[in-house]
Amino acid sequence: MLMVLAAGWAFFLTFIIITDVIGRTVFNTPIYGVPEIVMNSIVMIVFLQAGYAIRSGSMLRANFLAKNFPPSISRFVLTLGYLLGAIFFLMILFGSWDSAIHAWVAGEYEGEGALRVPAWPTRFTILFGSLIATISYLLMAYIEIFKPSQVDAEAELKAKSDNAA
Amino acid sequence: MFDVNIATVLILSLLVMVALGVHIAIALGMTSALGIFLITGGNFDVVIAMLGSTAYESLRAYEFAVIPLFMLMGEFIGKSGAVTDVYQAIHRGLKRIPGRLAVATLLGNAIFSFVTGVSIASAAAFSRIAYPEMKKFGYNRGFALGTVAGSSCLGMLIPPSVLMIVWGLLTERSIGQIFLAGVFPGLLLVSLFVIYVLATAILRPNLVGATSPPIETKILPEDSSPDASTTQVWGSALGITFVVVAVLGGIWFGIFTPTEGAGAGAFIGLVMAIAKGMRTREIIDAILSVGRTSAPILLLLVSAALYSRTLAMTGVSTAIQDTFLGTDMLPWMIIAAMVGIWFLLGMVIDSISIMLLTVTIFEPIAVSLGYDPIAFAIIGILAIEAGLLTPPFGLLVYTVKAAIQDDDDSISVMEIFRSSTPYWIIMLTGMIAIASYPKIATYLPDLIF
Amino acid sequence: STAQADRIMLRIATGHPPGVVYAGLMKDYFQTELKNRVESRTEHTVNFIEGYSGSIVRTSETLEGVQNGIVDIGGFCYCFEPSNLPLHAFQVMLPFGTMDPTVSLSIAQEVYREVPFLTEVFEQQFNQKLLARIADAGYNLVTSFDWSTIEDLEGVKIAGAGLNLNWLRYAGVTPVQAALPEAYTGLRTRVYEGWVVFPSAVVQLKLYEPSPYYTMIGFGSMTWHGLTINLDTWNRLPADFQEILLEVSSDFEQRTGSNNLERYSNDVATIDELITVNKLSPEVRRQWAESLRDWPREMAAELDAQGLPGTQVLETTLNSAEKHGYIWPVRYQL
Ligand code: NA
Ligand code: NA
Repeated sequence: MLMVLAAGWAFFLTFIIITDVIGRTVFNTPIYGVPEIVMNSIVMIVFLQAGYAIRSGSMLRANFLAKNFPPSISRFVLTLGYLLGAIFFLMILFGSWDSAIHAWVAGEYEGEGALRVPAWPTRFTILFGSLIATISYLLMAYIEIFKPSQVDAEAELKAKSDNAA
Repeated sequence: MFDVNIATVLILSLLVMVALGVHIAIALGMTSALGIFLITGGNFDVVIAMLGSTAYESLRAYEFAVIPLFMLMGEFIGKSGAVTDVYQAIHRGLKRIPGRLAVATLLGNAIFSFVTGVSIASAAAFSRIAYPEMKKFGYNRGFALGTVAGSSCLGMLIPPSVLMIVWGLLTERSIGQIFLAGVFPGLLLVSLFVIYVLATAILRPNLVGATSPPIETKILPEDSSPDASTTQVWGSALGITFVVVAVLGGIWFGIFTPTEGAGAGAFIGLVMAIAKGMRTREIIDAILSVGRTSAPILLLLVSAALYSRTLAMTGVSTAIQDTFLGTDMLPWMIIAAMVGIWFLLGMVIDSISIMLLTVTIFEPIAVSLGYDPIAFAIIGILAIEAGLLTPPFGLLVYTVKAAIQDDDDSISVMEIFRSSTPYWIIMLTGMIAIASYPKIATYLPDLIF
Repeated sequence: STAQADRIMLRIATGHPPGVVYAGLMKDYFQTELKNRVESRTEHTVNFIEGYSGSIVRTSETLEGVQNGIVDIGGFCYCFEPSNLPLHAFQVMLPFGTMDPTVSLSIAQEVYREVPFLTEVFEQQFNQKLLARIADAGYNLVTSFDWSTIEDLEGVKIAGAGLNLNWLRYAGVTPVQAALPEAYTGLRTRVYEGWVVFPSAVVQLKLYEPSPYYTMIGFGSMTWHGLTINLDTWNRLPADFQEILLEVSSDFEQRTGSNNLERYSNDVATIDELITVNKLSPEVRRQWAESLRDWPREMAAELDAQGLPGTQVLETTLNSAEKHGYIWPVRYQL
């Protein structure tokens, strides 16, 4: 759901940018604040998509070594990796907390002179996105430990295709 | 100025995590966290403050929008069927050329490369479009798939390209300049690839099916796709040409920045996709698919920013640079060592991860050795991209293999690797050519900027 | 650690490259002087981990970076802190002030003396101590075309960063928000046709190539950067070190004025050899200032409404400038 929202949003940026370009080149009136909107949007989009990217296995990794491990070790290493991921996003969450509160309380904004873009939506989206990412990594770790059957089935499928290769 | 022990711990922990298959973004991020923790004498508050600050600041630049927008453009055009049309148009145009299907694959892929920034997209598309045709005409299957894999590298080497964008973002060089610098080297590679295919077709005609008659002799390739009328083909060809001219020309003549070019490209791509009859459902799928592929790359960029800041905070980057520059090695030997490291990494991890791990360290060294930063960008991208064709991890080869899996799973990955080797060697040649004559890369950007 | 001989390691950073005058002074003057004086007068040693060009913190996060202890000492422009330090850009709100950075600095020093809030806010809200104020060279206008009256600029797209976009808007110019690193390409490709910049940027970024007209319009020299140190770091430092640090900071502060003044005339001379340098007639400058007549009052009122001493600070600045013998083209009324 977040994924759909974020992806649709990224798509929508196309139109904002096009409008700005046309406004600037054809009508000599740039739309104020488009760069500010776009750059804050990118941060929000990425953090909204983080959870999905993690759960769908789209995060880039090297498996040249891990794929040769015996299943039990492989599962242990994967779980460890997922827990590190959870810790990483949890630290981002803690590290963003104060700034997010400050942005809200002090009415922090970016982009003096053009459009004043409030900072709190971006900062809170990072908080929220990191929370979802932490949960996603914990979920992945849980599945790896307690639902080995599911994982084994996938591994078997993969082994089959590797053998075919 | 820095603690050798901390440096060692950082490098080791990163290597171990990457090798164990921890997500690269996490490996980079956790190594950074550890580094900051050690350098501040165990101040956890600073660690999380740095993480939070980097999460907020590192993507907050207009240029980062380039990544999803160019991917969107490629996705729309790729899925619209325009590529198939153009492939067939070239194919029809090359009646008397030996190995014409392979040549058409190369040229079609080259043109497609102007609109897509992701090699894997090219590889997946052409495995389905070109491979069945070549198989039908009795081409050696390894040769056919090697051609698809090899020519798909052009996606990253001809602008726009995600690798060029990421390089520009990491080194804070102009993305527009790097794009322009990629044009001549890309064309050079296409020419060398075509020469290789023609030479093979003449010297070893059995590889291109000249000895055995087509399996389905009655059906000429022209007739094999009744769904593509001449008007459609021309429409697609014109559409793709228009995108190339509008986007690259727009950046070139300064009508817009790379970000705006990407926005314009995505918009034109959408219009083309609708014109080619793409349904709402398919358009939504395309948008979602870009979300799936772009988010991990952007998250990696957050970690990479964190990692490069940590290297700066610990003084490790300066130390590595001093070590490199302090040796008796000649400049070309240092560059060769870098290329060697890229090749090695290319065997095990993907191109973007390699860039994130190395470029912020390598580029300043190359620049202080007197290399032109824009030419060096192209050299680096070539070296890293060549890794996509080298075993055991060569991503393009696996993509090709996966794309044809359903129809034909009797061919081994190693066979495809073997047939990709000539393309890989040609890329190496191109790289040496640019290292010797940087003008090949810098001529166009120097003209404009 | 013994109080007699500490080995001090400081992370010093700024989002700007050493090519920018103040960042260069941080690296070549502040660091060197601090090290020399500390090591010759005490038993302590000091070493730096350098984070220039934004390699540790970017321009817009340096204040926060110093606050959190990511870096110990940071230099930054208040233009990137419009919501945290809105009042500190007070000289920008009074355009067409003195073009002499040493005078700009003296004025700022006097205002900071009169209004302690300007100094205290760093310690009270941002966990850092202001070590030095930093003056910038005077702003002028580089354009791709020749012009002589304000009407020539009507509707023309001119770039600037931050608050000084308002200097343009009130005069009928179309302001474009942009960042200095992209100035060359932007001018070359006519995304905009001018930039509000000081001469060193014209020379360093080769803006004279795409835009061969530099008009000495005299928007004024601004003292709106600061050099700060993390408060925890400060409290950890030995007293004799603190003393030398303050002394070096104070000398550094004066240098930002004198060095920028010297650089200014050299850079203008360099530009003069390369392209056309126009001196704007005082009348046009007065007209432009006239168009901005109401803006300082609006800004002061906005700051007052936030509970900040806006009117007081602007009034003190106007008066202090006059005490230094400066005659405003238009005496703004607050
Ligand atoms: Na491309
Ligand atoms: Na950049």
